[in-house]
Amino acid sequence: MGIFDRLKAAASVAANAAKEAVGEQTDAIQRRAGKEVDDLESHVGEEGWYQGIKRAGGVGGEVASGVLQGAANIGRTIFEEAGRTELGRGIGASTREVTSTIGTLPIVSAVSDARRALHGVDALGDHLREDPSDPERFLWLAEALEALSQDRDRAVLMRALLNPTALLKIAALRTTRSLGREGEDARRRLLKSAFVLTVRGLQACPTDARLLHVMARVYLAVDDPREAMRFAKLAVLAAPEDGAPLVTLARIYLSMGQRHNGRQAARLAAERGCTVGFALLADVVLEDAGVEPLERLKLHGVLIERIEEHDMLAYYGPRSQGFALVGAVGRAQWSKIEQFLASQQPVAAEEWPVAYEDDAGIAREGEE
Amino acid sequence: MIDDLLDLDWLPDLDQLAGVMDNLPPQVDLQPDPDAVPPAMDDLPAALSDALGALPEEDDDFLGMDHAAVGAELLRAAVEGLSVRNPFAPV
Repeated sequence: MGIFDRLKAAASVAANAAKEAVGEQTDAIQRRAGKEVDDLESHVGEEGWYQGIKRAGGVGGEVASGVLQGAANIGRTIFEEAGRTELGRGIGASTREVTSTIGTLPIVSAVSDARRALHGVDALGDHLREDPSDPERFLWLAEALEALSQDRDRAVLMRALLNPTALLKIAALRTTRSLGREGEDARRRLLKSAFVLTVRGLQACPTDARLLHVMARVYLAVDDPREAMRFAKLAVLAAPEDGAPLVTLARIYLSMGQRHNGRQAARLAAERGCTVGFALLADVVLEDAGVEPLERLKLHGVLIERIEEHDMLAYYGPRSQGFALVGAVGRAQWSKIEQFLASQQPVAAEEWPVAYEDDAGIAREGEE
Repeated sequence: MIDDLLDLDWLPDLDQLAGVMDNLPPQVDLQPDPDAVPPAMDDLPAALSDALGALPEEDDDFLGMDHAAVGAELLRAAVEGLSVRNPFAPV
């Protein structure tokens, strides 16, 4: 049975399991769902967008809770209130677009997103098949499998946060999610192969910038930032004109929570021609609680537009879109929710936040 | 298709690679000639040595360095002097 058939089967199993879950005692369902959420949170629950949405759900304000109850409730509440006063009508008009966007809050289908991403995995598999002596091709496939697995976890968490009824389905979604676990052993074997081939290559040619870069990413993938950073820096020194190793260096800083260094490295990457740096900068700005949500979204849009597909393909390998899709949706949606919440209060933010003027400047220069 | 992909059995060199992997020590020297004396990291400029040897603080001096000025010879010395951790070695 192919993966797509199994995904279909998983969806069917999930539906049946959901029916069974509904028949159970409510407290038992809640316990089961809560346990599942706890497990998922240990994987991806520290991400800013998730924490932000979760906090908003806990503040108890009418607007925040309205947001989290879904677009239909928001629309009804806001527009009913908006109709009562001139000021209300103004607020309603200004937030109409935002609320309609919130209407697309990520009621994300883990199955359909996984299907999109799997197309990319297949493409990377074909690429590796063409040259199994290339360590970078092993690395690309391993990274893709990891992204796929994380996206599944994010999708389930997102459902749990944004649609309480999804709690009933979370236990059922375990079936879908478990598909991502199949890739773990393969991922480790791929990384091992990348490591061995890279060690061999570096023993023959210690200054090979591409191999130094692959080594950095292998260490990043196995969660060893110290070695990852050492090799990323060596890769930068080996190819100082290439921005790609700086992207990896930025990823390492960000994985360690060093936002300032991460931004600096991502900016350098962009300056040296690797526009993947803009993708990292866009991620950073979306999660910056010190910047107004509206400014965040505007700057995010400017930065995202500067990303060039050929740079993405050169960095992540030949694959179709789909990786890290859910995380990106979550971050963007959280900013939209914040923007909506902020729109209920007077906001005067007409300039770019000072901290990001340089980032925006780079992006604008690229347009000229 | 992805089922076959994840088996990885289609990779002819994988068993051989796995054999190599099993014999890799927990630390792997990148020095190509085992009889050669590895260059000392002490020979590297202090700033470079510092940048490569430790996790940075929030402001990493490495980012402000002139990367092109380091040169291939120093880079070769830095890499050949490395003994790297094998992340897949049994604990």
